[in-house]
Amino acid sequence: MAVDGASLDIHPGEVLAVVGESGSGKSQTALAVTGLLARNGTPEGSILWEGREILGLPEHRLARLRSEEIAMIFQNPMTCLNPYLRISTQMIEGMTLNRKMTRTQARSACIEMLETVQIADAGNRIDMYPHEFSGGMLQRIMIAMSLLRRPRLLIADEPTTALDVTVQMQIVQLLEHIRRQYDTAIMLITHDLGLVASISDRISIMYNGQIMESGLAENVFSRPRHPYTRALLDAVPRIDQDEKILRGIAGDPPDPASRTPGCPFHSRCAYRMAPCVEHRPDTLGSREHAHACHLPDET
Amino acid sequence: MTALLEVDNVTVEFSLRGGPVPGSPSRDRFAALEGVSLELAERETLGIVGESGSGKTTLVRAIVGMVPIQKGRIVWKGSDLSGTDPDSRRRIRKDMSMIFQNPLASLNPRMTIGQIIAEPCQVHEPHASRAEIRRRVAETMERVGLAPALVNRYPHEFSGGQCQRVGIARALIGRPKLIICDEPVAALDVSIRAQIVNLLKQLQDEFGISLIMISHDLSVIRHVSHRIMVMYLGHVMEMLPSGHLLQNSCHPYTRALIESVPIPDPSIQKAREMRTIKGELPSMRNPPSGCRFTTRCPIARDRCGDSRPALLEAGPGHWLACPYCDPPPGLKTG
Ligand SMILES: Nc1ncnc2c1ncn2[C@@H]1O[C@H](COP(=O)(O)OP(=O)(O)OP(=O)(O)O)[C@@H](O)[C@H]1O
Ligand code: SF4
Ligand SMILES: [Mg+2]
Repeated sequence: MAVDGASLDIHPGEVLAVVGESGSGKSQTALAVTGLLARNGTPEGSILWEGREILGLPEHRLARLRSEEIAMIFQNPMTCLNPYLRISTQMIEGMTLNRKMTRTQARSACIEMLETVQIADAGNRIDMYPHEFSGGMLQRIMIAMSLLRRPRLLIADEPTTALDVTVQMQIVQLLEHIRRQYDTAIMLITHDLGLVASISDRISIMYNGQIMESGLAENVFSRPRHPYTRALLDAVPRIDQDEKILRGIAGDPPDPASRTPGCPFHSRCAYRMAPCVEHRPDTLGSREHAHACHLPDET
Repeated sequence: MTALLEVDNVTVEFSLRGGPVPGSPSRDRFAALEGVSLELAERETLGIVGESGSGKTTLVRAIVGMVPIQKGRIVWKGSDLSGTDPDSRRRIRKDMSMIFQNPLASLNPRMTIGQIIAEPCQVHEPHASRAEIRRRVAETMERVGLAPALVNRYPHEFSGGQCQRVGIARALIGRPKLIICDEPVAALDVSIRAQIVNLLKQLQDEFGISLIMISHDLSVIRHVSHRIMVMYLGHVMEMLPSGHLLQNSCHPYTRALIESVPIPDPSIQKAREMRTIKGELPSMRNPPSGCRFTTRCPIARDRCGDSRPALLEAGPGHWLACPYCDPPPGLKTG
């Protein structure tokens, strides 16, 4: 896949969390999936969609895939919404354009979808403007819009970061409902480990464009193998535990422009050895749990 | 224990058309903060949590005098700030400093790190010599973990974590008694947050400073604070020692907040029953009457809308503004 040999895979109805700090390349990876990166970056490797190679597909085929099978939602709902148009206008337009549907049919489908994301009084509110909604409601409206096309894959880039905790949980429950109801695969891009623990089946921990550790959520959280994963888990306070001190990770997040022949985390790693600086560690393990580190296991 | 700071029944109103306008007719105003009281002791950290728009920033802006208050008093070491003359008020304000959420945006891009850190010193101590200031800047930089050699660099050359250290150095250099941190780690990467939280705690120990810490993140607040104040739509809902938060807090809003905080461990988190709080946050400009939490409260009754529940003492150091919730389990009697 596009970002420096990072590979990811996701199955229908599965939630894959791509975890990383700023500059870790997690959004880049998502863009690569949708083939958007193809215009400026040059993805190498391969991207398989239902077993077929999509890298190098002609642009019109990619565009169709993007518009019909893959949907994206972002941290800021206003990146997808026009502030000057009613929600109804924005939602219905997409539907009547893509499908043979009358406006009335489209409108009632939209209202139904708004009800699915728990917008009360959707029949009236659909005619309101974006500024008349709270941030959490806009986030849900954006999710509703992205679902209208019944995507197979939903990419959610920091969907709850700007929201209050009470609203975050509403969004988590909504995503959970969507994957159950429609068997949608969800790729969740975030740095929020609490959010990851709430919903993901599998996790990929990224650092500077590379996957440090991946596997089933339970495996990665309860038996973290990579020093970066462990450091990350030690750096967040937990509401259910009394930790005396938090252990921060020394140094700064990676500079995305820098590339090292060694392990990308070596400059901040407490276990650094000579090979870490010079050779990139191989990824060892299975889909259930894998990591890339020179340390022998059980350290 | 004498209070360093006392906020006594403070109300802050804003014009509905934006901005603080004390003279406008009352129907054009709304209260962003209504009848809020708190005390802060020396060396104490008070954490303030609450949803967006609950008035956290307004409260601390009122404390440092950045917004006028309509009612109530702000008392600093026994003297009423609204009553003192501008000169002593300025001296008191020197004892307080602030750290903001967005580290880079809060630093002047055209000034060097050294100039940024030195600025409060030059304002409050116009007679300090250049050499003295230079020495203090270098010393403060070292204290916050910045190499003094970076003194001539500009903010854009720094990472988010380093910028926040500059903000802390700037807040620290005048040797304040109180530092107010408004979401100091929200904009930082997870691995950097712990560094900054640890630094603040360490500086507090070292210099005996009091801290007011605002955050959306209840886990962070619980970790750093001695006491926690929970706000909702401009009212205080509950205030209690942070060690009692999980066991003894009983306000339905506090409980809802605690239940909404995800635990970063899927084996625990996925088994938790997440009862999300229903409904939307009402508008501050048209808040519910009586208890402000009525519209979303799981145990609300008809009377809750009649009058505002008083903030009453529910246990030692524990203040609660709900007459209907179960008493703190730690305090149940017979
Ligand atoms: N200068 C102002 N003029 C008018 N209204 C204001 C002003 N400052 C704040 N408000 C309003 O007062 C209310 C409280 O805002 P405040 O910024 O104190 O909330 P907060 O708790 O800090 O929220 P957040 O978590 O989003 O920072 C909000 O409704 C806000 O829109
Ligand atoms: S006073 Fe009433 S509405 Fe307010 S928190 Fe208590 S029970 Fe709920
Ligand atoms: Mg604020």
